[in-house]
Amino acid sequence: MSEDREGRDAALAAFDRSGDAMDLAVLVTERGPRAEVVRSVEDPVVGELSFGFRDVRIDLSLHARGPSRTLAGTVRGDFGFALLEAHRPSGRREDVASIEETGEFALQGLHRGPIRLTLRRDAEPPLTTEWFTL
Amino acid sequence: MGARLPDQSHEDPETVLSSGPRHEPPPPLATTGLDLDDAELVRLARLGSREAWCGIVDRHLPMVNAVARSYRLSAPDREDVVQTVWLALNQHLPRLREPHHLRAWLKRVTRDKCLRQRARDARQYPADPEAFAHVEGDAPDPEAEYLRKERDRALRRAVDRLRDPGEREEALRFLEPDSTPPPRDRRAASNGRRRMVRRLRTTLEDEI
Repeated sequence: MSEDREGRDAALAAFDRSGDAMDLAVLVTERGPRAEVVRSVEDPVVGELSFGFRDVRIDLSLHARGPSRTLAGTVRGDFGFALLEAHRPSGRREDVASIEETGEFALQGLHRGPIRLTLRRDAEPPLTTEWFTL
Repeated sequence: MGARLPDQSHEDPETVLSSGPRHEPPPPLATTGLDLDDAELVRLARLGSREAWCGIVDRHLPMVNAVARSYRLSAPDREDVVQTVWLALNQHLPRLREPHHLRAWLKRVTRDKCLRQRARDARQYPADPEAFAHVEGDAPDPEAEYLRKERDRALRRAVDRLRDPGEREEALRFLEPDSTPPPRDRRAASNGRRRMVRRLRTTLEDEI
């Protein structure tokens, strides 16, 4: 395959209109590692991201352990019970975490690659983040 | 990451829960997608036309790939970034305010995502210390520097033992060409240098 056509299958597979009506939380801030990543730190933070939509804010810390990634953070907003799901481009739901009363959550053992999170709340439409890369 | 084809065999909760409008299927494109401008392709893709999406991908994929390659990311990271760009376009398709500026939008998003990926990975690459064994740095190797000084000291001692002032002068001219005046007779100096080298070698061999 020529370099110009590289990734064409994945690009074509990205087409999906089923989420057009979902609310979209856009990336507000992204920061790199706070300090030099050293081997002695088991799960170093390799990035921090914040997504926002109206009064909802999702703050994420991206932790790395070998090829595996963990997303930990908090969801702030006015809602009761909520779940946070990790979705892959195929539509597959890789993991789901419940949001604690403090708003904290953790999604562990994630593979690298494109991902988006969907927040499901009581009596509210689902809210999804922009795609980002682990 | 390789290309991931959509898995149609499962029930996607988003599809089930989505309360979005159901569009009528878009009309088939009368001509190939590449004959239409970007704004028209975006409009048809918003309506669900895969053909229009295909036209967008085929028109702009080479540019997106070229921009991504220019950031020299690892191949898996580059593939992830490029895929994320197309996922982002799909996600933002209903929200694009200036679809006729699609190319500029794609270029900006690709650069942005490549920069973020590069910044994140800049501190993550594990390195095998052995890989640096053959890298030549600007600083002198301490061991080589020590051996050079030891050799110079032995050579200086051997020069000091030369009894002939002419040979000693020739040795100093050889060791410190900048601080010793040039010889008046070059042929004699050449013969004297050969004698001096032989004598120095003998002295150094005796020292060892």
